[in-house]
Amino acid sequence: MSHETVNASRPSDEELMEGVRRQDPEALSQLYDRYSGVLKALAMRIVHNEAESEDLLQEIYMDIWNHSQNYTQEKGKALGWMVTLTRRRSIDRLRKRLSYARVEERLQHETEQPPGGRGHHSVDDDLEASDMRAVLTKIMGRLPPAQREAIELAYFQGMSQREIAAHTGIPLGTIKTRLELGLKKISDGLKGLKNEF
Amino acid sequence: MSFEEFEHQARLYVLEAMDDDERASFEAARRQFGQPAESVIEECKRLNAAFALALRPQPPKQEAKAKLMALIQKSLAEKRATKA
Repeated sequence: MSHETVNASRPSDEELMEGVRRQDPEALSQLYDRYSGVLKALAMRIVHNEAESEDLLQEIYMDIWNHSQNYTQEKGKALGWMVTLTRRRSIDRLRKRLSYARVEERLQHETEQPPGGRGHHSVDDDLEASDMRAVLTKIMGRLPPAQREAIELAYFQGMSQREIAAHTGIPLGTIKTRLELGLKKISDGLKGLKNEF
Repeated sequence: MSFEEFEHQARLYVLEAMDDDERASFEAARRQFGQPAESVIEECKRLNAAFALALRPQPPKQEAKAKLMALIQKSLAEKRATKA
């Protein structure tokens, strides 16, 4: 979560990114403490491998350190930038490593579960993070399964609309409609959480 | 492309779910619509973070941070040595 809304005395994500741009290790350390759990969960959700998720997390924070000059506030919130880095790196890793057959097998099992219920449950998050996650999970959990599946194939497997259509055997027009409707519902749900992240 | 269509497609663009031809068409419209288009895209970027935040955080191993910070210190030392 973006914790600057929780405690005004803490530096914002953007202030920490500014510190990283100045090559201040303490700023990176704080960003690590704040988001390593979220970024690792995302990597894990994509590559499904604990050791690879740990490797990716280190690579991602090294990327943040080495390429912080590429981040500007005009590009959006710092968290969004870090999530995009994580997602791209993880999907690249997945494409290199896994055969499509293996992915299909896992997806078939996983698309039956809501996104918040996945992964290892080894941590008690702080209350604010849990509340936020509950809201986001609820928003996504309200989607019809077909819309959720299409969105998950796009987001967690990095598939384009045509790839999703080929993968599922469903007409491209139907996939487009499912993605558009599903993403609109999520966007509308997020409007109530403005400024939270 | 109307602005309304642009708004719908912006979510797909942010999720990088467009095929190449669609992306080219969308980026042309993005240039055409200017700042209002940038505002739409900015808003849509929240989607990316939302999917990550909906997952239950998974803390990395204890030693992972120490290893990372050692690499950072090494990188800093190398940069300083290069400057000196």
